Amino acid sequence: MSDFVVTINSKKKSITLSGNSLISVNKREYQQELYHLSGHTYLLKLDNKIYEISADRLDHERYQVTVAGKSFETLIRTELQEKAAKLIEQKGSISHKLIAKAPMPGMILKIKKAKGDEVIQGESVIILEAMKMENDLRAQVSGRIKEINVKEGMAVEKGFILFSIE
Amino acid sequence: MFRKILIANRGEIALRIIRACKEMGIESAAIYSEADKTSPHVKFADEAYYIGESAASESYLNKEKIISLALKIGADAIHPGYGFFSENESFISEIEASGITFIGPSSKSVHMMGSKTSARQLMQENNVPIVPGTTSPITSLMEGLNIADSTGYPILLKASAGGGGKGMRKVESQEEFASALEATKREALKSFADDAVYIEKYIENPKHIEVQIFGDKHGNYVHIFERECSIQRRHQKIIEEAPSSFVKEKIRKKITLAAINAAKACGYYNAGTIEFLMDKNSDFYFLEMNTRLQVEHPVTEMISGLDLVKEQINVAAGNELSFRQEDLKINGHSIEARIYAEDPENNFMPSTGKLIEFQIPSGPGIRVDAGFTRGSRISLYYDPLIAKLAAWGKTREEAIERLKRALAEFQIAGVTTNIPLLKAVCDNYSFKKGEFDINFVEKEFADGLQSKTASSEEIENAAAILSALLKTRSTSAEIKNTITDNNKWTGLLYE
Repeated sequence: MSDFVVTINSKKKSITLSGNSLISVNKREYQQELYHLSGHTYLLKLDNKIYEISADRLDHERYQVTVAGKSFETLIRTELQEKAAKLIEQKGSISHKLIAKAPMPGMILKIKKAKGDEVIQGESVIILEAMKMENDLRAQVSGRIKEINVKEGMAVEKGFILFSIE
Repeated sequence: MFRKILIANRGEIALRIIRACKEMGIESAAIYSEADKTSPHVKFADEAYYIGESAASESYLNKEKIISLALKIGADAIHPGYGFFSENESFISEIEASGITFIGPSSKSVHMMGSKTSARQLMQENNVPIVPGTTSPITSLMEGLNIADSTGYPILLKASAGGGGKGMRKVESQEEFASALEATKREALKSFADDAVYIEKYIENPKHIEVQIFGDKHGNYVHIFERECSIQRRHQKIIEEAPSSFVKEKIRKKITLAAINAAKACGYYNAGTIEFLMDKNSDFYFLEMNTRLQVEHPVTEMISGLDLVKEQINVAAGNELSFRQEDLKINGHSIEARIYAEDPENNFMPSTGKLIEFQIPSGPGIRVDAGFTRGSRISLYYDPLIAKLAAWGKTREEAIERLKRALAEFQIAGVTTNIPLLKAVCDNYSFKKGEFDINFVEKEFADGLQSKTASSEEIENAAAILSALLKTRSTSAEIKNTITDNNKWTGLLYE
């Protein structure tokens, strides 16, 4: 018997595996069978429903899961890991909104603000070009630009920290 | 007829052209960039030639390399597909000078229609109605502000050399004008190497109706009815259909006649599309002419039974059109959905990655044009179009139901796709009734897509359960990975 907490779409689901084929999600119990089709794709049978699901392991606790045309990122932790993670979150209350990351790989086309500039929420800070489209990256919160880590013309990877607001 | 055609494109459209070549017994030569080494269009063609680095400017947009390659390999024609060089006047005139046939219009027709401003002027002279605004580019910020004031806000800023929804911006007020002009000019320069921008009155809530026309080198012209392409995001079409349920027979007569007049005005041959905006009174205005094959040509093929690519090749070879206007009639209804690698829940941000799974739908009335397979990479170098799904039905209702059914058969993983949005459109009441305009996506999904494309708890549970099962198996999975895919013992070892 093992217990996990899966976070999906900002919802927490507690999952209990008992025995070989019984699994419950938030107390709802299913009879499950899992088959590996090929590559990253699986056939999951829950009671009498069949799901074809593709899953890519992102790191030790995250999967990218695609089912019924929808793509989800799932975060999976044991109950103990989940408790520990909660404690850490409560300690450091840094808002993620204060740090702007590149949503996709691309090139910095224009930087409209400088270090120290005041910005209001929704104001455009950087224009990132990717796939020939200009993407406006706006301030998620109002504040002052603390740092800008990129230069115009620079290529960035997805997740690269572009600027921070204080 | 041609002996060998060089296809100066990639992805699904390259594949589409290769298929036509094969059916006509013409040799096909593909070109490919670094990123496309293993792409389907390379595998399908009779011959494939490496053309350069992944960046389009080094490969698919390298004029010299493409033309000298065509000469070297003895290709007697070049098909440009859509995008890239398809509407590039200097590319076409260089091909004309080289003695190779360009499968498309003459450089002269492209020149006449290429600049939106001169096209507007030409249409005005030929009694094709145009959207109010300027018929020449703006020369200064001051002039632009004055014209915008007299036209009346909101206005649209458009790149003279633009197309495909790029280089276009809506301006609501005077305050926005300067920065919008700057951005439009920059995007225009980048995408079309020309920063000329003009002003058009913003028509409120129009439909996008376009007419497929075809001309040959003997002065014959036909139209192959209209398409409705109002379902757009970021000014780019995502769902197109033929015919339009809004266009009545009387209007169809008028708009197709205007389209043929537009084509005649520029001495056009090849497949072409005249795009119009249509307001709620069924008044229509010339928007632009696309002097090439359209992305959405399959819906026209499905209701007419024609093969537009083969007809393009036929006409380019100097033959007369293989059919006449009176041979054509509308058979049923067809709707196409464009499957994009983008996130509709995050402002349609493009998504890149490797397609770890790629299965396409089939069954009655379904056609899929895809340029990728499992293992393909969606890179940031090119357009994020993954596939086109076209459904045919006896009626519009049947076509929608088939489209919806087929959308659910896709299994694409590795990138985020817009499939949830496309499904939500199929379920939308206004869409089903045919009551929509080009602002449909913004209007109907204004409060964010999440609520409309919400996944059921059931689906989320399945995703969560799979994650948990994989997590518990992840240690033993490493051993399993050493077993090859097609080893027949694999199944047993899993149990």
